[in-house]
Amino acid sequence: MKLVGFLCNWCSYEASMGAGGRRLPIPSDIVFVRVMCSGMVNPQAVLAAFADGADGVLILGCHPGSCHYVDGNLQAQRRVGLIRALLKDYGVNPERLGLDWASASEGERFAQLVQEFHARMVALGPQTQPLVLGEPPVEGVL
Amino acid sequence: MHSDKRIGVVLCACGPNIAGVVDLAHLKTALSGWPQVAWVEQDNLPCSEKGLQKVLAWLKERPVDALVVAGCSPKEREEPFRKAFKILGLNPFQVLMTNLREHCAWVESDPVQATRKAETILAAALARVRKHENIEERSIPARPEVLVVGAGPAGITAALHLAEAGRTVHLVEKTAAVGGRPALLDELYPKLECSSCAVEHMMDEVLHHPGIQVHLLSEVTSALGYAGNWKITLATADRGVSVEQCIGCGACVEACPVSAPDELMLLRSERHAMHQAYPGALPNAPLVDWSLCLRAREGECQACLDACGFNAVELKGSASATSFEVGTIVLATGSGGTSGGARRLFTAFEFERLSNPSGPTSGAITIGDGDVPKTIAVVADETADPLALINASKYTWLAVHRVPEARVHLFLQEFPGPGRERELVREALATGRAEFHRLEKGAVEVENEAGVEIRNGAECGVYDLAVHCASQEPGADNEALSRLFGVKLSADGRMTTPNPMMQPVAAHARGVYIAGAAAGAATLRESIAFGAAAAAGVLALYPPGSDLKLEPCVSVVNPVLCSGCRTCLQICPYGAIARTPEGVAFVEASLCRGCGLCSAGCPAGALKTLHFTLEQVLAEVNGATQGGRA
Repeated sequence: MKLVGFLCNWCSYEASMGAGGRRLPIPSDIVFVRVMCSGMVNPQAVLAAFADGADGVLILGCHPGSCHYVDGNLQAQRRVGLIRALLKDYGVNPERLGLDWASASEGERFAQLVQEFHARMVALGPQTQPLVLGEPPVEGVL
Repeated sequence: MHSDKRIGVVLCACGPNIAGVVDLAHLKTALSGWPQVAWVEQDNLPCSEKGLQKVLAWLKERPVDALVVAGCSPKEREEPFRKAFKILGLNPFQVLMTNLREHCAWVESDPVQATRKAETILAAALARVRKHENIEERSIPARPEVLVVGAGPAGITAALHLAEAGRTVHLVEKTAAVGGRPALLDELYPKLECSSCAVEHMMDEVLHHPGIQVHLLSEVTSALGYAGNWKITLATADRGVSVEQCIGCGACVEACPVSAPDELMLLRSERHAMHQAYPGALPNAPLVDWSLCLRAREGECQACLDACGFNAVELKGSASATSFEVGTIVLATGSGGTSGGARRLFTAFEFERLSNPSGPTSGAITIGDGDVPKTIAVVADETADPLALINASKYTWLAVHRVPEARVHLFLQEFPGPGRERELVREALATGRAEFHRLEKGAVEVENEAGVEIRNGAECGVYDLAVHCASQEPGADNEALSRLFGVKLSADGRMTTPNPMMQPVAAHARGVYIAGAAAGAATLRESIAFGAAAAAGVLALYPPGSDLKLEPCVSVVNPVLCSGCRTCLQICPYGAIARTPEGVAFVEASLCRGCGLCSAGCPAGALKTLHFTLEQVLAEVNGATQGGRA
């Protein structure tokens, strides 16, 4: 299993510090990428992760109303809906893209969200057909 | 530079914290064989004073283009390593710290798994740092002058603090007097002390401070620029009287032949075209109401000119424009709401004017025809702001003590909790002439000839006089001000700050601060505190004579790719993006905070956010999934 987790700098990255500080187990097959804001995650980066063989991508941001950049997390939420639609067109189960919130003080919630996402991906099994970028997934869509 | 970049790697053992789980010796051997890795060193605690000296020595002995430090949080520990790079004359953004502690050693108990994961984390970091670009840390010249809009308690406090700190302040006030709302009130919460006495000293001080230029009867018509450099233009109405020459004798006022009902006197008395803003207004000089002035309408009358013994009356009648430059802005324009001809049913502000000793009845609480009310109702909305409850408690106390003949009925959803409001209500109830009613949802007041009828659930009563304490209205100019200064308004029209908890006075746009009731209900104490906080924000942004430091990791536009679709203009929470005359997007670096929302949303891929470019993130993702050896 290969999983990528995008963590926003202000809340969810701090939550990962809290989880680590309390030595809460985090599945070893997820690697975290720090970004300034969940709303900064480019759809291309998510698609590229699947093209690179990721079995799941999890984006964690600040809770709605607590974004360091006013409404970046809500922009991420809207964008995730679009990316999921794209994933479907590319033949990737849209459930492989997760989005959730964890505040800086929610180390336990962070660990739980990551464990649950991991369990869901294990249940889905590895992504057998890697996404191939550059080819229109469905004729006429792109 | 990417392909042949030489990279140094420092592995932190963090005592037993990382080394106890991750096999650092294995990691060192594995990484040493990687292309572009010039060297790998391990230290027990590289972030310590001693450790940093060692890192500096390694960097001097074996120069590299970039450095990866594998330890704990970059947010906590990256800075010292960046400084080491700076000492050597290298660009600090070529340093990358990645987390082997909280993201690996502390959350993985199996050493084999942990070591494998550490290798993946380092693969991601190495792939990313290969794509790092030098970023210049820039600053721009910034002006020390400050614009403060609104001369109420918040604006005056900000202006005085700034002027005392040596700043030149332009204080712009729409009306003819300084002092704002409290100057029109009487008994001031919480101690019910004389309001005008409390604020008068600051009104005097602000008018005479050499560092403060007060622009009365003025409004900002144009504000061009951004943090550090604004060009401001004001329109100033003609007062008709020279404040410098006038001694405030009132001869011109008495001579003026025309008059009209005075709103501040609840239309119960009249004021002349030449009038004082209100009794006790400062500066103590009258002004002309041009909509009434006979000379302005018919061009004949000069009664005021003739009456003045000091050549202080100067009737021009036309507005004048003034321009100046400032570096920072404080918006302290307060709340809205005017007074009208209330007879029986009063708003909070109207009741304040009624009960004011310098108001229409010299402070007597009477109905429109002058009769003393036998029954008084005080109602506060269930959804109103905290000031509504404060006001209702205060008015109940005042009514009981000022109108001994009346029974006073207080309608609230809940009895006030512990605090001054509860004390005031209890004192009122203790007289035996007041009673408390629980306000039901959907209660209504109707004013008619006989009185104010209040239907509250099953009960219905008619009262001689009633005060309705609602939420304060937002300032009338909020929309115009929000356009001028990039301030965002709430759904109910108040000014907002992006982080009301931690930065209560900092607006969305850098270098703009919001103080006092412009952002919502504020007591005098809060307005003064926020005014001082805004001044502190201005002073901390850049000391006078020094430059404004810019966020280094900002977004930049590739004008060749930009299609001018304006998507980014909508996305940016800080109004940092504009369009050039050529129709492409342009990021104003002094306003950008580097959140990267625009880059992710740009359909043309024309925007990139420095240090978090798509290329860098793709490389990191590739390293995390593929090992990044390619």
